[in-house]
Amino acid sequence: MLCRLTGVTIDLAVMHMGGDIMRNFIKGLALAAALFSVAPTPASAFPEAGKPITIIVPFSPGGTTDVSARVLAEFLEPELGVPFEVINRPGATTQIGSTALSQADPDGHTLSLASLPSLVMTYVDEARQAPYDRSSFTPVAHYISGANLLAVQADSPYKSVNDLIDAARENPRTVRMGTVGLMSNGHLPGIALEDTADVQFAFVHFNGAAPLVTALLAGDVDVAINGTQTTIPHIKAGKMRAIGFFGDRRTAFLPELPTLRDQQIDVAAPSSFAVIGPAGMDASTVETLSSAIETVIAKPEFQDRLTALSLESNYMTADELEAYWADFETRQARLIELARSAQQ
Amino acid sequence: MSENFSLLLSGFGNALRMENLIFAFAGCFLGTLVGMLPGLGPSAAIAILLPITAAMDPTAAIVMLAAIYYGCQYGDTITAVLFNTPGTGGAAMTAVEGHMMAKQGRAGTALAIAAIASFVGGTITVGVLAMIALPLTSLALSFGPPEFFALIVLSLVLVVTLGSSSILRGLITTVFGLILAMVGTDPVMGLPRLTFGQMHLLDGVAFIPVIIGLFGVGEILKNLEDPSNSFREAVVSKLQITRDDARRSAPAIARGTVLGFLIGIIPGMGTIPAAFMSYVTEKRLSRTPERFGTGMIEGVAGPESANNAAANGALLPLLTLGIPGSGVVAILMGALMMNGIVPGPLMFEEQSDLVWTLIASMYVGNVILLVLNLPFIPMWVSILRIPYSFLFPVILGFTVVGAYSLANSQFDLGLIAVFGLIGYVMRKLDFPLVPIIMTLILGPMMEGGLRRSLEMSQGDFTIFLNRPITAGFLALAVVFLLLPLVSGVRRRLKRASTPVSSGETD
Amino acid sequence: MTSADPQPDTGATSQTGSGGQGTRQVHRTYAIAALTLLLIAGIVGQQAVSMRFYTYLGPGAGFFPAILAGLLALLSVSLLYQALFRPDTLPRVAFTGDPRAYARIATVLLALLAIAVFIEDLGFRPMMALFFFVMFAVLGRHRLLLSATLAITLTFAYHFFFKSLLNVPLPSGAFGL
Repeated sequence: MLCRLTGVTIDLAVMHMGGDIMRNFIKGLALAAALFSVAPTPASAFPEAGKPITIIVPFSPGGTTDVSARVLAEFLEPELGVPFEVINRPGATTQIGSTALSQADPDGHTLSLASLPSLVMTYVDEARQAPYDRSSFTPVAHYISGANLLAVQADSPYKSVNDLIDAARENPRTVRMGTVGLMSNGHLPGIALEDTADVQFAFVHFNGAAPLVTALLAGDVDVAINGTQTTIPHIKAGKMRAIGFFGDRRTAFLPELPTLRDQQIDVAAPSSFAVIGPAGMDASTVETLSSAIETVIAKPEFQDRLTALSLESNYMTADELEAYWADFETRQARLIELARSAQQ
Repeated sequence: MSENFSLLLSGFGNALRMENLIFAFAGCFLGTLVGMLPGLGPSAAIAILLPITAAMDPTAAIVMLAAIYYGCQYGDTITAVLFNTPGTGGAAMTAVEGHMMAKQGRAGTALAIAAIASFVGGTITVGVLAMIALPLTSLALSFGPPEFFALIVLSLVLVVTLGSSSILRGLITTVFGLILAMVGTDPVMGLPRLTFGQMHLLDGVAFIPVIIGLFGVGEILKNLEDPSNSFREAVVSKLQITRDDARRSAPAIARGTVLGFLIGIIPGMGTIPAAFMSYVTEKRLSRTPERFGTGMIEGVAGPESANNAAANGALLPLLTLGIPGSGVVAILMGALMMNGIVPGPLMFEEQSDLVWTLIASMYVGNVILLVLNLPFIPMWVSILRIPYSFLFPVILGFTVVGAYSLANSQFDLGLIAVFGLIGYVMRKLDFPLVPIIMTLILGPMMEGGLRRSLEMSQGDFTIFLNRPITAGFLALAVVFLLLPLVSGVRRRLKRASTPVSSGETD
Repeated sequence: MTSADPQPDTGATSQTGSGGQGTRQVHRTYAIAALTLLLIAGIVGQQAVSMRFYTYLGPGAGFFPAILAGLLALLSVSLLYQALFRPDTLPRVAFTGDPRAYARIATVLLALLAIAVFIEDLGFRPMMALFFFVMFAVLGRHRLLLSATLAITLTFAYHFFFKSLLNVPLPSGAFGL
């Protein structure tokens, strides 16, 4: 339930915030001496010394987005020499956090870790009346790539995605396909698969990964579109099998799992976490931030931390991210339109 | 089974080591403290205190987290009884009868019986969890969307027939609550519904601010009419459980434990429906159902034991399937994963040491909480001696922080004020508050469950008749709906000749 | 009951005077409540009409809202009937008759709304200090100096407890407080 629309839905704990409590305790004591002192903020080049950089996380604490933002903040702090603050503004599938970001001062001290599929969905879907679109933000850097997989019960007759497609072609709307939510990042890849293979599934939309996994184990659905993190333990236990990966390349966590393209189905629906800021940021500020993120991502100890969280980094510069985002938006808009028309 | 027993013993060996006992004690204390603050429930407590446990060794961390989990369940009872401000939905039922008891000067008794009920509900179900976890797993799996839907329908019927001093006002509150539950994103099209362009409503009306407003702020507003004697009677409270109290509570605790555990096992149900079902059961089985709402001890004992039993039940799908049964358990799961425990199908085999330590430490935590809480009850009750002009601002301050910190949202603070006013007006006009709480929880579950079931069957309604559990629940719902219509109407007609003159029912 | 002195039986449970006065108040209060509910039913019903009532898979988005709006309308008309024609079957609403009581209630509600609106612009500490000051000065009728001291101390205690000890993020506002 925490982050229903990010592909990887497990409610992983906030890791390694260990030092924060002690540090804040000491900070609190210091504040005792100067309760109403105003922090001096002379205008200078980015980053302003002593002025914290806030990362808005548009999901609840403990989810994947939150955890990856906190790890990044922890490593960026020494890199840029200013304190980092992670603030959770969950709700409305990232719309609340994204609105707050779009209205923030574009001085580089307010950023957000955006889940691209969720962010794009909120403004492409006009019924949601989001007060922003792509031009309201400045792309900074692409950070993490991931994708959903297709999972079936261990004794399922479906051995590959093509088996699934054949069954759906023979009897339209009988293969029950579970997703983590209506119009979610689990639903839209299913729509893409329907569209490409020209078949129809019977979608069953749950409310997050936990009920979806339960339903697959109980046989209430035939196949589930789910994140890797919540599926892998059941694959290891021999209860589930993965038959296809929605990424544009294989995942390091299940190297033997073929992508859909490997199975001659031209569908890829990767999901992304990217660092973005409000529109109107200085090019030099973006460059400072983006190269700091690149440096951090290249560090082996940072990679170790991501691996422990079952996450894979995928750095892109601000320009590359901008192009990727525009392309992603076009594809996402089409899928949302298809999903809507299927409901009529 | 005997093998399990020896594993459990070694788990106790771990949990009872001195340093672990200290962490258990600290966890219980912190959990109680955070649970007492309105709005900051167990989820917030674990999330907030997680960083502390990150630096500790896995066993100590697990002991402490389990203690925090339980400490919260005890803590929110205290504010529910004393100030009618339940910190979480699970304690809302306790607030109904418990606060009435407090008004009659029996706050100490209510808190004591709540602590004992929680202890019994908690410890017995830990034992069950330890001994027959794996067979019970199939029960959790047999609950698909249709079963879920049918159980929710049954619960909604129970809300409707719960009754209050007036059938009409009870029905109005129920329908009003259901309409509130419709606000958000609809499960059919995924489009905004009744949100009036307000993005903060896209996820629905946030639950915690609503209960804080309706119960906590509403209660304070009502006391402000004449604050000089708001808690006067409660101050003279005695910690005394009479033989009559014990006789009435014991069966309620037993029923609440069984009911709560069974409901807790079902993923997604959680503690709120468990406490509610227990309350309704007690009211139905009581020989004096009309006295519910005036401070009946069964209405505290049953829901409190059910609440804690459900909290344990929710751990079952986590331990055996790696599926968090509730939002709180999801955060607990994250905490366990940080400490190297991967909850899931292989946990009992691969990490049996830690699992049994976890189970043993829950038991230890419950004992500590009972020992810790009973002597402190007079202290909690003495909070009521603080003059209202100091106490009310402090409570309001806590509600503000609690509601804001849930999602760092100003909108939630506004909700508190709005629902505070609604709660005040409803108290003045003698509308029952509980139906709103229950329908706000159950409404979206009902609609979502119906939609999911029909997606599974592609629009075929016979899915509700072909599955035996589903059909059973729905049949029961029909019976409960018709029973009071038949017998109740006759009784009401007879009573209608004498005017109703009930005063308070909040 | 207008006196602020503690009187033994001015509890919230007390009933207003008998006869015409009380009945008229009952009737008016419940009639207003019924009309408010009728208005809500109307708004929900009007919204529900614009949504699909039924889809090929079963109830649509407008199905439950439409039914509930109809039910609420029915129920509020019943309440209106009861209020207008059978007010004796309704419980007496206990009005205190003390305007200061309502002033206190309004103060708390307005203060809460003010926090909701301004807390992020002003910051947690200034807003809460102001809130506590108003509470102590208006509700408690303490002296201004005492109220101010209490308010600042309490604000500091809250900030220390939540932000520094428990690490709960609190808004810092435009002035960084």
